[in-house]
Amino acid sequence: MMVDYNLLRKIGEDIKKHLDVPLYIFDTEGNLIYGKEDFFEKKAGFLDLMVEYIEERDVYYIGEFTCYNIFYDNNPVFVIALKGKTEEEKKLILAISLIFRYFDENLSKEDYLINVLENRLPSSLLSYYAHRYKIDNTVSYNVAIVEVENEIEDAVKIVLNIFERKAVHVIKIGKKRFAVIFPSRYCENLVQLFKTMKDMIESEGYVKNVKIAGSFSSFPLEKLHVAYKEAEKALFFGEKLEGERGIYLYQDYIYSEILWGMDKEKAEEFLERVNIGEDLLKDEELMQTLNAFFRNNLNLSETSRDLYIHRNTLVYRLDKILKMSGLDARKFDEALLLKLAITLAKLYDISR
Amino acid sequence: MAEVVLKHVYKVYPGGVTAVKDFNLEIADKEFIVLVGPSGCGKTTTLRMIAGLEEITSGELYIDGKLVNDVPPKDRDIAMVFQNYALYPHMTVYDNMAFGLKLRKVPRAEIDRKVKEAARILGLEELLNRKPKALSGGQRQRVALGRAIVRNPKVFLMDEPLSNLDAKLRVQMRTELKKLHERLQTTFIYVTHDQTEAMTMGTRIVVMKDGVIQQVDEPQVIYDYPNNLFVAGFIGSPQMNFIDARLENRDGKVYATFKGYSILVPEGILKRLKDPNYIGKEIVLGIRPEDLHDEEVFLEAYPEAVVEAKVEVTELMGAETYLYLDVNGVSLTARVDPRTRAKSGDVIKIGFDVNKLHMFDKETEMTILNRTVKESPVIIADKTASS
Repeated sequence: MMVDYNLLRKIGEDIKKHLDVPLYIFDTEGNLIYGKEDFFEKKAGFLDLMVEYIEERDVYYIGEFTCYNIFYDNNPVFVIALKGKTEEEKKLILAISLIFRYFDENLSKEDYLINVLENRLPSSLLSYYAHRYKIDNTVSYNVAIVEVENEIEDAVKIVLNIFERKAVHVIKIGKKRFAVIFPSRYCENLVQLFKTMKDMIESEGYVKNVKIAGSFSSFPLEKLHVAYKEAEKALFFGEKLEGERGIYLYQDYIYSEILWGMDKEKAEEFLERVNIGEDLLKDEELMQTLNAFFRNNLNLSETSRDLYIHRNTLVYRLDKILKMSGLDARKFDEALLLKLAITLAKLYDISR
Repeated sequence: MAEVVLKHVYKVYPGGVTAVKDFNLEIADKEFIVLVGPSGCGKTTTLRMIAGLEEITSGELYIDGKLVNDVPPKDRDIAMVFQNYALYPHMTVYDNMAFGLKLRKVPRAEIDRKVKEAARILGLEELLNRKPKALSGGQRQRVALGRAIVRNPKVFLMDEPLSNLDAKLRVQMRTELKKLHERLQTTFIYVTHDQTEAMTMGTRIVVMKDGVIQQVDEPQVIYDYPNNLFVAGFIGSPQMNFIDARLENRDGKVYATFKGYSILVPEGILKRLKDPNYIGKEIVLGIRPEDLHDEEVFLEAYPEAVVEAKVEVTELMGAETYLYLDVNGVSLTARVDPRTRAKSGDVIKIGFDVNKLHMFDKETEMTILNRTVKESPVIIADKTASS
């Protein structure tokens, strides 16, 4: 395998950013790839010894340095060295070696993308593999998590074909879940995009219980883990709060994330004070109406359009909610109380 | 081709929300049935339970005589067309239609036969090699239908398939879907929030509210004989006018009185009253906008059915004009001839076509009229004589 020296240098820089340790990288002939050259000029003997150890597969020591050889396809290709000989340096060099092993293991596209989503790659490797797998590193991406009950293979094929070829990347995460990485140009109307994905998976693939959750905005490849985390949170809170809806966007649940950290006793206290009533919580039509009203920024016209109902019907329903809960959703402060109470009741499964 | 039967079907979501309650319906083979109702009424949930995409909490679902509660969606012999369809952008029309069959691993020759047959039915034969971007909106919609047709299902399930189309294309596709149903001779179950779609397409309509069936019947019957206030208000555009009124007996004649006006209720309507005890009570009077008249001839012919109204707004629709009226605080909408001389601010006379009156119980909101005189057990003359 050809080793890209520039890439190794970038990795060295990446590591240096996070670990302030004197790291050196050599090729198998003792040429310094990364590290301070002036130091080694004085230590010519060091390099001779290092070449002697080149077949060694465990950590070894030369002078005051801890060294480790990196093998690809059973061939040594370069050496990493750290100053110091304690147990700590040994652990550190083994940890650092794991980063380099990604080359050795010939990281598959799927593994690479999982590592990107989990934020486990230094930016140099991130770029290296993006190039290798022809993933455009110059655009921003969004992440959607799709959860299905059955036929995951078909669901993946359907989603891949909805987008333009090469624009989208799909990674399976477990037996019922996959992540979809798609460029920001598809993000103009995320709700519509997710609805299309859901309808297509269900009608073309006969797939049950399709749930799709997405991040708030687009991110460059190196920050994609943020989008993934947001999508995960959207799925978690969306299922808890609006399970049957099936489409969840992180921006709708940011406040839930804050409330999730609240003490349950305090939540109960709050719900005791703002008693919205169990009947309201169990009324599908009124809950759907309220959610739509909140989503449409308390706008009567937009909400009635969204729900395909007459404006008067919406007003009638809001009056009914007022009667049941004592709170008028048309007034901002009371809408806020309603929203908080409903969210807390659902998050903590408190009926009141 | 199959009949679909739902018996006492319930859908309760975790958390206790009941989306569908005691749903009973027999859908005949080759029927085009439309489930209609406002958002949240349970129509989509019902369709998804038939599709197998949602579990049935309790009750039984039969397709073609077979209990299918536990049969996975792909084995139910159904095809679905949903609102948010997309064509695969890099595939030809042919491949778009074939894709679902490929997923099911149908042999290539069979796929070819089915796709070509569907293309023939939909008039897409010349377009099979085109990519979606080279198609018009209507052609794309037909390809989406083609994806369902190639499966040769016993039942087509459609959930708002026309909602994302512009108004003109929606009207065109309504006709195409009706023709398609006639050609395919298969059971269609269609969900919409749009009462016009329901009225124009369904052989029968199921009106739903709060997860409960309100009425099932042919479109014209639902329009003429709504079971309750909800159906009366939901079906018809502009919607039926409702007036809080009182039925009063004066010298053997019965009047519906409101806001100082009295409308003579004809015998034909009185004979249809389910219970003569409504005379003397508060009721809700219903009258459709097209049954309110401002023509001189009508006003002269029915002087005991005329009220004065202030014209608040007029809307010229081309073939008709809508008058938005105020009758002593009661808002009414009349659909009149576009040659009307009424203008905003005018006080005009407006006549009720009393043979088209609807009446509802104020508390139960159910109709208090039988559909025919024959059904009525009540002899009005006896009652009025004794009151």
